[in-house]
Amino acid sequence: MESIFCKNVSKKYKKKIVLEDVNLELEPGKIYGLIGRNGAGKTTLLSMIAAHAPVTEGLICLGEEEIWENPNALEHICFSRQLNPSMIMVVKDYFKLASMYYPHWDENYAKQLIEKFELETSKPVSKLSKGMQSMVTIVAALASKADYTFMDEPVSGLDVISRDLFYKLLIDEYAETGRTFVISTHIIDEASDIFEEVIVLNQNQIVIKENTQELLERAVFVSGKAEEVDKAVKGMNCYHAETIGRSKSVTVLLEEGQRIEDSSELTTRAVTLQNLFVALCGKED
Amino acid sequence: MNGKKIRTYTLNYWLKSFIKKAIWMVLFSTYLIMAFYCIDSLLGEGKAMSFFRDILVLGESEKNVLLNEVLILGSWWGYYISAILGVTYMLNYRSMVMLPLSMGSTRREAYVGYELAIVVILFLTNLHSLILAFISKEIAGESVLFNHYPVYIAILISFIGVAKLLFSIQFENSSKTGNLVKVILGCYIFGAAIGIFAHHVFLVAGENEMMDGEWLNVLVDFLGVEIKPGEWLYALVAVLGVLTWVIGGKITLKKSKNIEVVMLFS
Repeated sequence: MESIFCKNVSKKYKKKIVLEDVNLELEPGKIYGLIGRNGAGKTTLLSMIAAHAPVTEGLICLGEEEIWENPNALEHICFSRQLNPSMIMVVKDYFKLASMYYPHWDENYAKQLIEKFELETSKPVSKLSKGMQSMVTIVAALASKADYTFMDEPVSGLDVISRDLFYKLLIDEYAETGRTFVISTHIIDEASDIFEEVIVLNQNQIVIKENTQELLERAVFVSGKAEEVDKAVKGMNCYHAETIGRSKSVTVLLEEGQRIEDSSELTTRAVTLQNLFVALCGKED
Repeated sequence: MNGKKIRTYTLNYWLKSFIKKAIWMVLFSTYLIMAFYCIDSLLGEGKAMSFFRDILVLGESEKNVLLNEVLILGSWWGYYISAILGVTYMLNYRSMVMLPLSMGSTRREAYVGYELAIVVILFLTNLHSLILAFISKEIAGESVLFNHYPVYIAILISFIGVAKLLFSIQFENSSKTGNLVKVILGCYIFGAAIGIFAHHVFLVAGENEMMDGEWLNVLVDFLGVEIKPGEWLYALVAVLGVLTWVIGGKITLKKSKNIEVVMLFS
C-alpha cells in the first residue's frame, strides 16, 4: 500500500480559513494520533483526505492517484465520523449498508465487535446514548478493513471500560493486519501510548508531525528561579511560560544537540503528551 | 466498489424503507375511509358519504359499491401518496446521497443510485394506484381515475421535474436557499393538487370546454387512451416536467461534484 500525500492543501469556508497550506504524508502501517483544539480543522482535514469534502486548494493523493472521485483510491479508505444524533436508521441497517458499501467488510468480525460492545442493533441510532453511537462508528471503522481508516473522536462519550476495550481492539487489529489508523481525539494521555506518530494541528496548520516517543523524549518541563530558567532555556523552543512571583516554569522542545544544564536551582521533568499539547496550543497567560 | 453495486444497494435500502412507509400510509388511509363509511352507515342519513363523494367528485356514474369506492379512493390516495412520498424523498436528497458518500462511493455513483431509487419508487407507487383503479373498473365497469391515469402520471413527472430543478439550487449549501426551495416546492404541489381537483370537477360537470385541440389525437393514439379536451394542459405540464427533470438532473450532477458530507444524514 502506498502513502497518502496532502500537498499544499487549504480549506476555506467563504472567508474563514480552516486549513492553510497543509503538507502531510501518511505512511502505511502506522497508527497516527491527530490532536488539536476544537475547531482546529481535524475533522475537515480527515474529510478532505477521505473525499468527503473538496479541497479549496492543493492536492490529496494515494500514491500517484488523486483520491477525489476516484473509486480505486476510495475503496482503500474509511472515514468513520460521528453520527447525527437524530439519525432514524436502525443500527443493523446501518451495518448492513456498511457491509454493502465497504468492499473489504468483514461480517464475522463486525458480529464479534457488536457482541463485545454489547450493542443493541435493533434500535434506531437516535435512541442510542452518545457512547453507543460512538460504538457504532467504531464497529463500522474496524470491520470495514479499509487500508486507511480514519476515526473522528471515536471514544467520545464512551465510558472508561469501553474506551479500554476500544484501544485493545485497535491494537489487536493493527497487530494482525498492519492497517493504517488515524485517530482524532481529545483524550490525549489515554491514547498516547498507542499513537506511533502524533500530528498536532494548531491555527490552521500542522505544527508537529513526529514519532510520539521521540517527541516526548525531547520535551522537558523546566521550573525554578526565573533568572535561572531563562538562562537555562536561552535560545531554545519554549512554550507556555508561566511566572509566579520569582519562580518560572516553561515547556521546552529540545532540538538535536540541545540539553538543559543540570543545576540545583532548576527542576526538570518529562511531560506527557497532553501537557505538551497544552503548552503548544494553549494560550499564554 | 463499482457504480452498479452502489445503485443496487441504494435502491434496495431505500425501496425497503419506502415500501414500508407507503404500505402504512395506504393501509391507514384505507381504514380511515372505511371507518368513514361505517360512521356514515351508522348515521343512516348518507350526509357524510355524499359530502365525501362530492369532495372527490366520484359522480353518479360510479356504482355505490362499498368495495369499489374504497378501491377508487385507494387509488386516489395512492396517487397522492406517491406524489407526496416522491417529493418527500426529493427532500431527503442529502440523506440519500450522503450515506453512500460517507461510505466511500463517488459523487456520481451516489447520485445515480439515488436517481434510480426515486424513479423506481415512483413507478411502484403509481403501479399500486393503477392496479387499484383497474380493479375498481372491473367491478364497477367504469373508473374516472383509470380513464385519466396517464394524465396523473404526467403531472407526477412534472412534480419531480420541477423538484429536481429546484433542488439543484440547494447545492449551494445555504439553508436559506434550501428553505426557499421547500416553500416553492410546497406551493407548487399545493397548486397542482388544487388544479387536479378543479380539473376533475370541470370534467364531471361537463364544463370542460377549455380547448378542443385536434392535435391531441396524436397523443391519444400514442398513449392508447382517451384524453378529454382540456387535458392538453396536463400533457404540456408533463413535457415540461420531463424537460425540467433532465435539466435539473444535469445541473444537480454538476453541482453535486462539490457536495460535502457535513454529518451523516444531516
